[in-house]
Amino acid sequence: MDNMYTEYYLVVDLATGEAEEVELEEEFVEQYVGGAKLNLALYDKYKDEDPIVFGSGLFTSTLIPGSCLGVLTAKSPLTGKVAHASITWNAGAELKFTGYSFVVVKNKAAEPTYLWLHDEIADFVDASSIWGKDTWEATDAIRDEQGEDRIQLLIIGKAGENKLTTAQVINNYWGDGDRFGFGALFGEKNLKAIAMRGMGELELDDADAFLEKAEDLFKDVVAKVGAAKGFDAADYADISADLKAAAAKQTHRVDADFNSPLAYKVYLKYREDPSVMDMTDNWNPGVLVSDPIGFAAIGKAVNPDAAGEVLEKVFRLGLNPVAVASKLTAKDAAGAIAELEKLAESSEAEKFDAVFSPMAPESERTEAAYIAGICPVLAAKVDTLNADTYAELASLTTGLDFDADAFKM
Amino acid sequence: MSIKVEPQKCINCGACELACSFYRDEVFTTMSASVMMYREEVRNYFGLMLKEEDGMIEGRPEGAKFVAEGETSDSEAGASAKPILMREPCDKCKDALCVRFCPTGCLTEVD
Repeated sequence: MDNMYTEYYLVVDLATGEAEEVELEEEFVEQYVGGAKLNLALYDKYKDEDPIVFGSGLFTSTLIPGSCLGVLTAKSPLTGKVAHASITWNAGAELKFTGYSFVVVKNKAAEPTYLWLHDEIADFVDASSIWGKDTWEATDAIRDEQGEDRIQLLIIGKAGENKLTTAQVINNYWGDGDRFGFGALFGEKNLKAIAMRGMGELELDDADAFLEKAEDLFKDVVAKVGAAKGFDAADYADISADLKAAAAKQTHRVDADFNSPLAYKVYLKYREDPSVMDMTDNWNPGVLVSDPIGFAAIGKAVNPDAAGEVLEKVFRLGLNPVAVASKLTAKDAAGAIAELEKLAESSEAEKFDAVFSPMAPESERTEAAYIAGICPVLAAKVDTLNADTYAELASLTTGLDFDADAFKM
Repeated sequence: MSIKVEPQKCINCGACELACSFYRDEVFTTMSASVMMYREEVRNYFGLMLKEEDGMIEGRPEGAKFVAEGETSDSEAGASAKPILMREPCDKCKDALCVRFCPTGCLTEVD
């Protein structure tokens, strides 16, 4: 396709070390559109080979506001059902720029491996030297090895390596929308990470008409988001007043996902004065609260002023904060961190009460966002980010004919 | 006309990179923009750089400053922004897309 998507998707076989480019046919896109819907079609196509699918939405990487979304689709080791995890931040956008809008990862590698996707090239890289490292060390090591600090990664820590259902796939350093134990699937496959960076370009059908519509939508979205930022913008998470007050004393700056006006991610500094804006010698002054629901859960389990530091450990070990919060008994940071280290070493998979709607409430708008490639947190806040809007924009950008039903599963 | 950078307002969304690239080539990429984000991610130290004819504006969290061509940047963050030296300089287009798609007012047009 020469519009909105790359020409190919990629099918990787970890068992043989082979990667196959498959044409992303127009009819396939017409039928399945993108994101969770197209991922599911690919999952079904390769389901006998234990696939994990990472895919972008139709508008991922474009100027439509909130166009950050990547979706990770696989069979959850926790539920036994196929599930879709939202991946925000920059990984979804970077996937498309690698030259592959979707990647299907099949079977199991014999030795620890990471997949390095860049400029229509897929490399299988020996990960034995980073197996056992936490997600922060491993992310740094891969970025150093490939010489690029804007490489985006889906990566696992100890919990994933140990195949725990409480494991989570981490997005660079930060937790994201995997509440399904997909980290354990990466571990099963000996897959430490999928690393992505690309210089790709996406073409569209009617650029002038698109720009006009996209700008109108952008203005509307910015007006509706208003001044909301930080935890006020993450009001889908039940963050207690005590936790908010403790976090306010540690708040450094707020961050947004790729091409999103909603700065709902809060960086907390607890190893440095949060008012310090300069870069100091302290390489890890704090943590990005990338998952407000996970932060709320940890904040209920431990002292509010320890929640950031404990969340950091959760991310470094590649654990799902919602899954492990209820297991913590210590209230202080050192005690909780020691408990987390033990949890990540545990050898048995276990069930837990999980929240299965990781980002934003379930609704038609959330569903449409998962197909369109729009951040569901933003879509939940803005009524015009809906299936009708996407259908109109999709027809303009692709030259194909879409209606609102296309953005329903 | 020129672009004023107020990096304290930046939320590192990268809309400016997409918008400037779209202005230049009518495609979606981040690679052909005259403006470029940088991020020391684990420290949350981020901002943007704007390439100009005779140097670049470094928009650091602690403030923006102009660095003339040939001068060296005095901070480690300069390293992650090095690729901008290969980019086309800002052509000071009117009604610039980078400004129009900046959600926070970090980028504005000034006379």
